[in-house]
Amino acid sequence: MTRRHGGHVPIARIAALAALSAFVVALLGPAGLLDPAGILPRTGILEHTPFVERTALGRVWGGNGVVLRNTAVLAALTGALTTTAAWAAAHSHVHHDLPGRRLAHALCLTPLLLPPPTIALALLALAGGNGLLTRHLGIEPIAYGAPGLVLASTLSAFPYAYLVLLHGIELLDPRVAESAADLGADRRHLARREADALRPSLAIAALLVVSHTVANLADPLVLGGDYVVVATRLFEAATAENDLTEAAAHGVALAGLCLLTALAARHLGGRARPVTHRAPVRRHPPRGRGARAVVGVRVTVAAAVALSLAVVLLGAVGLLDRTGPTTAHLHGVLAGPFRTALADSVLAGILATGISLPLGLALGERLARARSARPERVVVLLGAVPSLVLGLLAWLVLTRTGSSAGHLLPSGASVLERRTWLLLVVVLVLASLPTTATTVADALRRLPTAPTNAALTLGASRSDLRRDVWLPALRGVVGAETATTFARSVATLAPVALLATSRTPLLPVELVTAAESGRLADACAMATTLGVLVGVVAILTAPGPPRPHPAPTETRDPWGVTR
Amino acid sequence: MRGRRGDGRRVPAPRAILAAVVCAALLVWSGTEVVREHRRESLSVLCSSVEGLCRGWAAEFTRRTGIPVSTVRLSSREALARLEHGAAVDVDVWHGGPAELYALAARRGLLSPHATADSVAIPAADRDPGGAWTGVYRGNLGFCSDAKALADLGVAPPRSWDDLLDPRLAGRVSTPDPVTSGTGTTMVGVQVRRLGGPAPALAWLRRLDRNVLQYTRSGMAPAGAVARGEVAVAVTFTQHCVRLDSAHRPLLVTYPREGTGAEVGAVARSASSRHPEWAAAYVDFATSRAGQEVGRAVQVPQLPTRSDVHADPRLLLPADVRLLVTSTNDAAGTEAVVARFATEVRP
Repeated sequence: MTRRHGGHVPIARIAALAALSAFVVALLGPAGLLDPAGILPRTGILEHTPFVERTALGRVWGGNGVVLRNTAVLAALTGALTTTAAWAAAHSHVHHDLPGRRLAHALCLTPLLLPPPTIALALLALAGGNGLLTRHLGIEPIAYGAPGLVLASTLSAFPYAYLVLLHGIELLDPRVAESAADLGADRRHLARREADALRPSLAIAALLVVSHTVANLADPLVLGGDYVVVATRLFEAATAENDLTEAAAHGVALAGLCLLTALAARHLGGRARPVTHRAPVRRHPPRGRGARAVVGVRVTVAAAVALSLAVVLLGAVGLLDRTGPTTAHLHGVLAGPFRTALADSVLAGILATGISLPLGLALGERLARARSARPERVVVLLGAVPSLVLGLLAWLVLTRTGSSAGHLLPSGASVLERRTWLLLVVVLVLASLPTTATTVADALRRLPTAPTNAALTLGASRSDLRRDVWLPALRGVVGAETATTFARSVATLAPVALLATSRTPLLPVELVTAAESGRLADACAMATTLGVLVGVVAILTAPGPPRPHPAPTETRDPWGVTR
Repeated sequence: MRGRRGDGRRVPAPRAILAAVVCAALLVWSGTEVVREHRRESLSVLCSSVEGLCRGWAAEFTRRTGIPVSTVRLSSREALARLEHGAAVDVDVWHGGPAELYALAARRGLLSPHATADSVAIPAADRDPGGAWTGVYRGNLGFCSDAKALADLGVAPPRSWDDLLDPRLAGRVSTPDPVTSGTGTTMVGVQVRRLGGPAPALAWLRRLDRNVLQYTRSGMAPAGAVARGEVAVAVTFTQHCVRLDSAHRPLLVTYPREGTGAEVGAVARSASSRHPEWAAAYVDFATSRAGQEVGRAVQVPQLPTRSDVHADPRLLLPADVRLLVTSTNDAAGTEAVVARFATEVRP
């Protein structure tokens, strides 16, 4: 971290201060501040709401701040639980040798590719009022409200924390811990040292989980019960109350929280640090209570994900509600009443992936070449804006403006539907582009410099380099980003929840509606279809076995920029 | 993913080819489906009834007229909110959901009056005098219970609104959310009428809140929660309970002896309809005998508004239970209480 190019820390602080100020001003200001053009209507039950409660702060603070409090409690509990579990699982993956280690690793990452309410559906089937566990073990149902949300969010957000901590642990030199152990340091002392060394990674992991949890819409809609959080309040205000001021106020709160979280994570983590030493780690079977505990956590998480998958599969063939075995529910998705919703979601996913990948590659290359870190910070902040807020903005544009940018699309469909599709794709691209761009930029910075410098010396052009050096080297990144971008675009609810229409139904919206109205088998069939689709894409785009390449030997990066 | 041929040129690996083929196949299939759906003009219907019934109405209308229908199911308040966006949301018809919300929509100029072809067959009380909306089915608000679950809790099936406040039912009750559901709005209206004003109604709703496991966005979802065994009692229009009654989990319909509310499920043409003639034809169909018999054909029991269509006796209100609220007369007053519910009971 150097201050030569714009001063990393001061800029981050100024940006954080500006974001905080904007956030507070937006909350404190009257509704008119959020609505300078008077485009937000005051109809429906809003006609009966006193003026003071119509201020943005009044809206977000409504009911003595219970919605904010619920959100904060959920985020804090999920953040703490997920980060602890992910640390244990990542430590176990790096240090312990066990049968099924790779399978457990794959299962720990699987929630990344699952449609968001999959875990919630499984929890409902297992620990709901009539869940398998509730009935057979005679326990109280825990699927609804805060306990269910914490459990579902913990598993849903687990991969984010797990990946961050895995990377953090791989950065540590294992020889230090091994030498300390050889010299007689006890395990508790070693764990404390690892925690010290991992402090930034732990903080980033926790912040990522918090950000993911507060922006999650699907799980609270399915499991929330009367536990209302900011995301569900925003959704209800927009869809049922037509109270766009309240929706906007909650959108500002959500975006502010996520932006501040991203700034804090950026401040703590700094730039990505590549793993430059690959000193072999001696993996050993777990010995002692502590080791068995961390392995137990990892196995528990993997087993919970596997169980969720199995339960949803059983639900899809009607075995949970005793109507099966039957393929009627899957048939309904593939060839029945939900076929159009599936086709819409698949097309939107393919278009968004097809647009955001090349844009992400191009933007990532520019970020990696940029002499200042400022553009990347802007992209990181854009990536922190919750996709639900992007969806809300698109919905405002769709319902409140008369412009017909839809003429850009082929004729045939109604102008409104063309605008819906245009905004749908724009939202999905914006939801994925920043992540792709920053991932590509990080990957490019990690490339060894020698081949690039040699090629440049020999007169290769940028396009030659791009074709022959960078793109082949980025194969793994492109494969992973294809799968995650497609998963995000085809299966997530938040960005599209407000954009589905009668002519453009979308499967994630139908899924949550089915789950909410008790049609569990239909919901499981939709989750299974989306999961299989994303799984196939992930398998087809997965990178092959890694090819060894020499570690960087210079301090200059491939773009010739000293950092 | 790539290998090299003898002449040094790259050839794609089999997995890359497979990925490209899968991607192309998905693109062609989904693109064809979407283009086909959007190329043809269709009638856009917001449906606030049971998913299967919405599809049944659409299919039967298309079969009779050849006019394609695109349907989206929304709770009635979500449908009303969407209608308020006018032409920006491309809605031709709103079908299903309590008429009191249709009355609000008509007051706000969101509906286009249409004198239905067979309006004399519908009782005057079940249609708007100006033709803004027409009732196509009726429903009575009641309790849907899982008798076995109640027996396990040692609780008798509820026969009074206050029976829902029994502490043994904590976390075992599901009701529609008045903020999102027309059924929930009707429930709030009944409490205002029964208890004599907004303040005691809100106090009662606050006490009920302690027992509620889940407020659902849709009015029919609570019956689903009982049928799935998630809760023991639900407040719902009882046709949804009768529909989900099964040998596997027998459901019991009871009514509060203090009196209850009723809905007139309506149909109306949107003021911003792009296909006003098709929309009028749809409204005519929905009010016709054929339209009101669709429920029986798709096994969704309903009380028709027409006297010449068979009424399922399981849905009739017992003679000793009185109606406290007619469907549309308290709409505006109830709105204010729903607003207070949203801020005071379930913020």
